Amino acid sequence: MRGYLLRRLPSALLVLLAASFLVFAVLRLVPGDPAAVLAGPDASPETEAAIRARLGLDAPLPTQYVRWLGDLLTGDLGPSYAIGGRTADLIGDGLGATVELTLGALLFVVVLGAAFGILGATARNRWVLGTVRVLTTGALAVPPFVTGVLLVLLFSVLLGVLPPGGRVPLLAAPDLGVQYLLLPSLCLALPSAAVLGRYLKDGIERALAEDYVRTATAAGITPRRILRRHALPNALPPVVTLLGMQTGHLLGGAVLVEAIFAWPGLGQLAEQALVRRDYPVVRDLLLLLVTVFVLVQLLTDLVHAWLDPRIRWE
Amino acid sequence: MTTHTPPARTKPAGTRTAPRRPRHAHRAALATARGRTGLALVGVVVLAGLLAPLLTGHGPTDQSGLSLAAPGTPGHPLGTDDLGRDLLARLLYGIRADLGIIAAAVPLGAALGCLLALAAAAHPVLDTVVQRTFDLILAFPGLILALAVTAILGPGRLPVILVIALAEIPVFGRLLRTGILVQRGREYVTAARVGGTSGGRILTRHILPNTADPLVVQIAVSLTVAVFVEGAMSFLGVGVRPPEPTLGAVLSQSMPYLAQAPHFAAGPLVTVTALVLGLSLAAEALNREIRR
Amino acid sequence: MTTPPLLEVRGLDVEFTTPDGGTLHAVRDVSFTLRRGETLAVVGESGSGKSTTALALLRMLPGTGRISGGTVRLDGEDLATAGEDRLRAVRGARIGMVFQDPMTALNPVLTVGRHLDEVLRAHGGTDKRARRARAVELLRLVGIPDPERRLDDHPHQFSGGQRQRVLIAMALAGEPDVLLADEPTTALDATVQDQILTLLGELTRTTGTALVLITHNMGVVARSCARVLVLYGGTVVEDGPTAEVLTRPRHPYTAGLLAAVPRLSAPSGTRLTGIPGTPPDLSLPLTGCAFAARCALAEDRCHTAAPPLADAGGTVRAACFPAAERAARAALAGPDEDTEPPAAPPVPARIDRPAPGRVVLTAESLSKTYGSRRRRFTALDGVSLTLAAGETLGIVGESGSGKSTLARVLAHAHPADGGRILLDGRDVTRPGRAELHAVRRRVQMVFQDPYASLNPRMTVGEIVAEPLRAFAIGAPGERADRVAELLRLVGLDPAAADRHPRSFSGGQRQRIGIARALAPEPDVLICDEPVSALDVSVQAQIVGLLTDLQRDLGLALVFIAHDLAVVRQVSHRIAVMHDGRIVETGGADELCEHPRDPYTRALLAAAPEPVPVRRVPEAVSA
Repeated sequence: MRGYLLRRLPSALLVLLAASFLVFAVLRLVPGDPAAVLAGPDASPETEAAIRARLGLDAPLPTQYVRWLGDLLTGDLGPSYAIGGRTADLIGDGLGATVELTLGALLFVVVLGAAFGILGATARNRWVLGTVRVLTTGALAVPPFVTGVLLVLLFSVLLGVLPPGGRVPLLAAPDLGVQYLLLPSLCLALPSAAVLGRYLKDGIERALAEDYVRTATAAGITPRRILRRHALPNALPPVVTLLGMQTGHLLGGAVLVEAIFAWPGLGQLAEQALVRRDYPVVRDLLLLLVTVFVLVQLLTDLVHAWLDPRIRWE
Repeated sequence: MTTHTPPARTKPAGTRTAPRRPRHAHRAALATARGRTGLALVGVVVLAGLLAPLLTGHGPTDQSGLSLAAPGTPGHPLGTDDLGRDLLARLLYGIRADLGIIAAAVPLGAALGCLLALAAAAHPVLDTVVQRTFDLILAFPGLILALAVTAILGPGRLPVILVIALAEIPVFGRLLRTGILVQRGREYVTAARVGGTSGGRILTRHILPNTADPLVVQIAVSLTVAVFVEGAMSFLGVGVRPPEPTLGAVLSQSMPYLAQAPHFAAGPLVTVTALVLGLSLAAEALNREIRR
Repeated sequence: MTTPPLLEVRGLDVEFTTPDGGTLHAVRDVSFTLRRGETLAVVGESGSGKSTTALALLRMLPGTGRISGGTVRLDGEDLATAGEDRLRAVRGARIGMVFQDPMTALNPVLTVGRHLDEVLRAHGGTDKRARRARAVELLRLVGIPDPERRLDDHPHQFSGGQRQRVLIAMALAGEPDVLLADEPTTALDATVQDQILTLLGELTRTTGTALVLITHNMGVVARSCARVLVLYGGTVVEDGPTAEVLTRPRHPYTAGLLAAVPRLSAPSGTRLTGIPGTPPDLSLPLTGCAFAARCALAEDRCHTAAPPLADAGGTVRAACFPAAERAARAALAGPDEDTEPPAAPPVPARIDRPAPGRVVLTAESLSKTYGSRRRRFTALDGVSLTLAAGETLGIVGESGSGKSTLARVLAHAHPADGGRILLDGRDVTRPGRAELHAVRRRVQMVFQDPYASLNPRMTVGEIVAEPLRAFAIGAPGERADRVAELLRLVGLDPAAADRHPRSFSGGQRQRIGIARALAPEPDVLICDEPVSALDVSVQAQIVGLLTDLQRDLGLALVFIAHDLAVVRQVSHRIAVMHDGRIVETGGADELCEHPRDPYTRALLAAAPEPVPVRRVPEAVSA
């Protein structure tokens, strides 16, 4: 297992390094001098130069890059240019909200995906199968911004049972927090849940058609136990990989869902920073999201290897 | 001589089941109930977009005195929006704009991805470079890529196309690369090589035709993703610049009026759903036929 | 003969629904009985319904399969109509089953211990520690060394033969009365097959379990079972003691099948007799004997009425009108007349072939290694050989011996890492582009898998014409004629050119592959296991075709196979490969009769012979 980690780690680090370079380089090429933006339209060239010096923007680009990497490692990200406050604090605040939203959605993905997958593969009742199929097709085919609007329309406008947007931190007030969390996390989860369910269904069906299931049947093992002990362990590893990918998509999708439900997370922060051209916030945020995504991928591969002994031995 | 089609029985000793494939698998797939429904849905939406000038007398940005008029108002069958623009016109021209974007972006991404995959197949060093490039693009999931691109280029039509195309590059690239690797190992490719067939002809005659199926399915899937991305970017305010309508833009403008004027959202909601549902049904039909 | 039968199958019918809605009658009116401790072989070619019968006994038919008639009585209880709960109590506990492919029949993510534990648990083992102890005992029983430790290993850590042993252990875990083994050794090498058959023999003897062995291999039948049931087109054609049936077959199909099996004891150059024609289409209704269309002895009534399984002399029963009548006549005439062979196998003919000419192809200490730095695998390790015009060099080896790699290197499909290849004395080891093209025109290859080596998207005509095009042979307009000529040469209808490979049977596809290889008029033909995927009757046809082509075209042939018997018949000389080296070379007869290398001896000893004793010039009446 450790050997596998050591083999996988370098390429993950390489991708991260390349991504950091890309983010840095690209955002420094953005038209519009950050110092000029920060100083305002009426500032004198001297003021701009002073700001530039204070922010370290007068140093050569490679120096700035290395300095930035150092800052990242110490966690001291410096001040934001336009939004105000320190970048680290801004990101920290948003991160809590986004993690809460993503975890809520992940819970929905796992529960709904497992239900869709197992029912779809094993149910014999035509109505159950039909319902599962319509639900998965629908969840896949309707974009989150449409689902979001529909959910708000139904639960907030028509029924009035859940708030249409905003956030109360779950840890501060669990009962109220859940009400605010429910709609956005469901909206975020639906497409991923459908993908996961479909994948799981295919995996179980494929596993049930394998020779080893025939061996087990011939040995007199019950279908229920064959599903649990023989088919599921084989169907799971690729599903875990998929779940890892989907976690990344949830992170990306959160940006959109936060906009629909006015959820004060990283997505909202990113949108704000983009509009106000707050260069350090955008830069650090992008890298943070990419890092989380790459780490999730790495973790997924490790779990996959743990579940499937063949990979460890390759 | 009598020909003998191996019947569907348990595998005979030492032989493999033959690859069974009707010649016009794609056509057969789209002729199923699922495929037909999908094509019909897509067809209606596309036609509405193409015929926009004939179906409405208003321009998409023409303002009238009526704001938030209800559906059925004379001259405005779907009503008007908050600025008094005709909703039908905005919807139809929105479809047009969307179609233009996805029709440019998906083929662009697919072509670039396939080119990279071909390059990867040419040399092991190129393969490593291409693979790492794909990894790097994939490290920016979905909308985060959109944010990164608009951070540089600002909002507009071009960034939307770029984001969609960029996101599709590794998808198509990996698919084709795997396909080529699989086909290269096939015995009929070795047989053709031993038979003196040139490398170029092996690629065009043996390898590429047998890798095409998953790519066709992926095009249908990618078109749906493109509709998603366009809508999401408009929603986030980083898409096509107002006042030009797109499906996502019209929907996002309707959000503040959801309680008072739900009809404002109805048009784009129904259209986007129909378009995406149609494309996914077609993709599913193709996929089923190919996997058989 | 007084003990009641353990398993009694009466009039078993199995049907499948084809994708286009038709009905496929895979098993028709199969009846047989099995007594306690008996060993019964069910033998037949692909499509004979032998595996389907086995699966039907446990009601485990795949897909649309269903039992449409008949009974399967186990100690009087009909399994054909039993409920699922009853079936589960029978599966594993009363009837254990072993499947063909040990590579896929075990679950890759579960340990071997877990596999055994699941079975023991399903049959009432409640104490976890007792189950583990029993699992260890079972692994020891089937000959897995160090069973305590191996229990926690996963299937991929075992070899093919060991996996098959584990599967046998699983099948025996519930101490069944019947062990049903469906082609248990087909996926294994000859030496491993030998070990598994020995194990099965010992186990049935010591535990008193009855064995039903499904196989296509007459040698395996002779080696392991006292009684044999011959299946053809879904029907039982012959049923009797193995020694009787194999030495004096009553049914013409059994006789034809035995004549098609290559004998290790037959000298080089013996022509195998195939059975002309193809097996019946099971989706059509059958009137009369299933074999009538291919039978040389068929009479009018054979086409109109199905012959019942009737007494055919001795304790043998056969479904054949003439055979039954002969038996009746013999019974009237007294025991002395019984020596008349009912359906005489044709005389084993010698092939007249010209003596080999000058040396065409030479290989000098070829080497080839696969893999990355982490895992290297030496496929070829200093292989040298020569091949003369008009000569057949047979190459024998088990899986992993490097014989397929050698074929690919010789045909320039893969480059060699070291050594030299000489064509007519010229070094062509690392040819330039133009020279490679010239070499390929002279050295062609026939592949093992007739399914995988033809592009499913091209028509047969396009496939055969491809080398013509590549080597610019003939004007484009004339190529269709040349393709027709080539198809005729390999015994196919030229009309085949317009169709796709999928509409042909395995043997016909192999003919297409041969036509393609012959298209550029090569001097050397490398045949990589050209008959391994084919049934024996078809194998005999293809082997015959290759030897005829060699005689007529003066081809130099490299004939690669894992079956020593086939290789002996077709080859002038034989090279035995083991671990990437040629361990012994010699004249075909010389090598088979006086092997020097221990590995060659082991191969010869492991090859199962259909008839234990056989005098070559047989007492045959014309």
